[in-house]
Amino acid sequence: MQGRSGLIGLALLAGILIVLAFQGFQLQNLEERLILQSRQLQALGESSDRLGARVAELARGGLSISDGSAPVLRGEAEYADIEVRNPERPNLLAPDTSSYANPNVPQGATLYRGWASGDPKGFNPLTENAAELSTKVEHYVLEGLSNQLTFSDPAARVQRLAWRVEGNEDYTEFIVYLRRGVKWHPAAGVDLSDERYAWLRGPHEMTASDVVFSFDMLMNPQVENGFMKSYFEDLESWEALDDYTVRFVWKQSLFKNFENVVNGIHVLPEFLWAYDENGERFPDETIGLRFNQHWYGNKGTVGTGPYRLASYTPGGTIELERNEDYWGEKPAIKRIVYSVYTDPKRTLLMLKAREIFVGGLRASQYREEIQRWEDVPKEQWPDSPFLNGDIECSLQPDFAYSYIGWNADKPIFADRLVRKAMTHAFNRREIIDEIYIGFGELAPGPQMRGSPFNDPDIPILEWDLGRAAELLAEAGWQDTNADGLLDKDLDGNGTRENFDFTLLIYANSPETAAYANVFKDDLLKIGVRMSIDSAEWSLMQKRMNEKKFDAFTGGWSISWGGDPYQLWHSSQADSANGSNRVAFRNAEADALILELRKTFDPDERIAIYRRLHRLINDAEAYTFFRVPYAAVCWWKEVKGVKFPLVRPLVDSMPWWIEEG
Amino acid sequence: MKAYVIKRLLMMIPTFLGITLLVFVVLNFAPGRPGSANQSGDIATDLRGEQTEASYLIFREQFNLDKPVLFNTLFALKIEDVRAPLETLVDPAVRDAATKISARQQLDDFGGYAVPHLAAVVAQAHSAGQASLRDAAVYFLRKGAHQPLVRPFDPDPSPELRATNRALDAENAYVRQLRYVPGAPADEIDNVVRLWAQWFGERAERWQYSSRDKMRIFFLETRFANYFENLVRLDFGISLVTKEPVLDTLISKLPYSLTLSIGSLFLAYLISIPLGIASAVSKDSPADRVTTVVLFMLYSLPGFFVATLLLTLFSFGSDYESLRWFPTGGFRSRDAMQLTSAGQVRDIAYHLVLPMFCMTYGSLASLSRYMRTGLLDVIRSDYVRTARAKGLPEFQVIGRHAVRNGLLPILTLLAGLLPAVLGGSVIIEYIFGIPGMGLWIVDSIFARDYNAIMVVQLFSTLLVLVGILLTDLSYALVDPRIRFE
Repeated sequence: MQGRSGLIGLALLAGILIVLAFQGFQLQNLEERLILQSRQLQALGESSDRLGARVAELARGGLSISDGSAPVLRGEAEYADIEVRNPERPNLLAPDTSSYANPNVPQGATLYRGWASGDPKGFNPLTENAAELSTKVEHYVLEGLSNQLTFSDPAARVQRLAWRVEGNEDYTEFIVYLRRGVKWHPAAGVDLSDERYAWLRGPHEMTASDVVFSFDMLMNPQVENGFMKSYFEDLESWEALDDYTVRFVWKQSLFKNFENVVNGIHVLPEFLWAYDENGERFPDETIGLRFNQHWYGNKGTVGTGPYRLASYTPGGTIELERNEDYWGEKPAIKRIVYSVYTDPKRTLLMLKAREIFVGGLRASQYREEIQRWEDVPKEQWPDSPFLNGDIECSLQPDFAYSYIGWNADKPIFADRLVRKAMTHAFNRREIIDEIYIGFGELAPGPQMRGSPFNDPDIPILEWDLGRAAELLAEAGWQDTNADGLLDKDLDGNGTRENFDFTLLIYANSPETAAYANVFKDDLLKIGVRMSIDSAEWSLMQKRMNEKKFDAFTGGWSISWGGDPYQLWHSSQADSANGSNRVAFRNAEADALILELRKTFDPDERIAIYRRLHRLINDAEAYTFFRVPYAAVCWWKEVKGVKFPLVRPLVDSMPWWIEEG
Repeated sequence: MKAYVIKRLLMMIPTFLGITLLVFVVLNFAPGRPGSANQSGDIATDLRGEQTEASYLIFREQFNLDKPVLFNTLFALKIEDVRAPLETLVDPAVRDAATKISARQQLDDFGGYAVPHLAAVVAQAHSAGQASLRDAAVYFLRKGAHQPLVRPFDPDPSPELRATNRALDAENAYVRQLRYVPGAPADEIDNVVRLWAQWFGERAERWQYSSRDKMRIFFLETRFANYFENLVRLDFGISLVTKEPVLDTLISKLPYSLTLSIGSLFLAYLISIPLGIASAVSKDSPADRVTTVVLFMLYSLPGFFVATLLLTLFSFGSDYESLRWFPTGGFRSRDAMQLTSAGQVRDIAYHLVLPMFCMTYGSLASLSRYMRTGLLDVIRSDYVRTARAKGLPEFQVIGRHAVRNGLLPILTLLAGLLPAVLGGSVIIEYIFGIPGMGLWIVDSIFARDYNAIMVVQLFSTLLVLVGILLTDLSYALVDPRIRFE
């Protein structure tokens, strides 16, 4: 009895399984057909895109084509009819005559890149400041009032969302004229066909009220963006004069006022960020708090730029799609897809697997994958795309430098001659060549080599232990007790102390420890004993804030120009958390730093920067060490790769992809 | 039995609450403080201007970090408590930045409760001509006088609520501008000091606490009371980092971790049961010994090493063209959405081959040993001997009689693995780029994302409790000799 019912049950089960399998098979067929259809549709769309591009090309040749909406005006000539308020004032924005577009290159294709820091913490443009978010999404999707010519002249400010900016003579008032007819991208990450989001459907035009709203949020005390707000403390008022004109007033006459107005923030769409998910505007008294945790904050971001954020899958991909309605010059690459991952070591593997087309290598990886094979016969090479020419690499100087800082508040390093001797004893060239396998170049000073702010006439001190010993003798250091170490009566109490100090190093890489040891050996040869103290970041930062160090290894990133106050003004040497950790105090430098803030003339600014460079160099405040190289590698089908003069280093706007 | 289960379930409630309290307290007293997106984790080493501090104030208010953890005694602050750190802060003789930073932190922690004393210090220092003490007191007074809005995230605020918040916002704006640049002209400073005195005079009763107020503040104006109040409403709060509800994030991470851990668990059982049986049957044979040695060698290979090795050898990034078999990581292909459902399942399975292997091989040793021992125990028992004596073939003796009972210990083990299933594997998820629970927990711990850590802890607590109960019950189910009364 039991056996029979068991048998029946088994037969039933088998029957059900067969039916299910058949159903599954049918479903699979149906799905495949649907997918095929959607692919065909997509291909159709792409070919019509190409057609559109051709038409646009023709249009540039003089043919005008109207699509019914307000025409987008690009050049200043087209704004000739618009009355400006102060025609006697010059336009502070230059016309953007740069062009990377090459109509003969293939349009379309997808650029695959990596996103190595895990899921973004959010997309809110004012409260999030993660590096990858700004260089990989905001850089393409959002726009500011002006643009920087990153590939040719980073100091120039050219038209972008604004086509004209008038400033008064002391830079306390600016009137900004906005480009007309610019449309916001449609919002991704929500189903716009759903009635709930009917209020989000566009098109929406970018107007003065968006600019005012962006500054409202920036300055709202409830908004958690103190890191940005501190640059705008002197901003007194911002108001829309009409739909396309905004007026800014500053309390003090400073050079950075202009920079902050036109380049300080991205313009945000008010129709999105001022509203809750049901399309109700946030109440004024709580809008800042609501903005901090906006319902759209983790879904995506909406801008006016050449790409729009098309989709974001947490832990999966972030996809940008070319904005076909872009007012300006469109890039050749149609889609940029970032794969999100967390282990930075995976970049190399993904690059080799062609899962991403562009990626950076670390020095050790570069050595392992490329350099070590240079002396090996070709027959023994592994089958690696780095070696067979499928992947090309370029070493680019990063926008940063490393240095050794000497605490001038410690008696041992109070003397400029001593610091200079230290620089002579530090074998920088060889360390870069040997320990960093050539991954870097000597840092000339606090500015990039080749930037106008860098004084090229300042010589770089060479490694010269003899000269170092002379300088130390000149500074009063002698080995009086014949113990092999130099000594000196530092505090004038009759007892002579040995030249013995500790170098605080950041324990991030074996290279740092290695070069510290080379330095240590060289110093011992001239009678100086250096101990090495390796600390992890938070401890290191604590020690530096508390000024508990003799010398340390550090690094700064460099912006084009930039305000030297934080690093070099004497007031920052005395404040508890100040960044002038080496206690560089120089009355002339202090005055120049303040003067720089009030100097608007580009040439005068360059002169001040160069003078500052010389003062810092003469004081030997830092031993400037290395501008690191970044190894950027790309698959050979990516063409037209070039690198800008400022961040972000990898900017694919001028690139294109040759498929097949 | 039923009564026993109900009793156990009821006992779970106080246990759960006790654990909640314990975890919360440990978490909040652990060194380091959470920071908002614009801060590094450690307030003491952060470089911040006043604007950044204002942002941090808003952040602290929103997450109740401005309140003490368990008991709030700040209503009993005395003027000396406030004056001492202020004096440390402005004392030119104190050169030690660490002391200053801790004094500043102390004053920040006093928050609004220090307002009456700060107001008094301002007045005293002003008349005594102690300019720097007064400047510092005005600075902290400005911060302390800031009041949080009432239910600012209410999606549909009533007119009364809006009026209250408008008034609070206006007052916050008023106190924010009650300031001067240190070293400003004397009459300007006089004026600001006078306005502060006036402002405080009009509101002094706000800081006069009745004993009932004190009771309320002592127990209720604390981080734990606030957290617990929300917990009772099953509101686990939002992440301090992404500002998303943590429960939603937890649920969104589950599929990744569950697929990986349940899959590897299944695989582990699938392999180790036959292995264990084979070992038990051919006990002490060379085959048994070799299996044991191999399994223990695998057991001792660390996961991160094997994972990296597998990726460099067998992924598409391999240097050996013939070994390029698997993707370099991830949970699915980036164009997976264009695949059919069956295709998507295949795609995920394909991506999980390597991570699954890495999660499985280590547990084979212990599981197959459990199976082996369990079976050996059974084989020695009387009824197996009886079955053999009946003349049943060895295959039937083992397969039908022994294995069934021999399976019991390793099946009861399953219940205990429940929390581990939720926890995911940090290392495997990190190396293979799978956005699961393990990674999320670690990120949250580094960011001091209290709410996220709490929700994970509470769920795994719940799973542990349920797991223990299930284990106990499963014993009773399989062994009729065990009874719960």
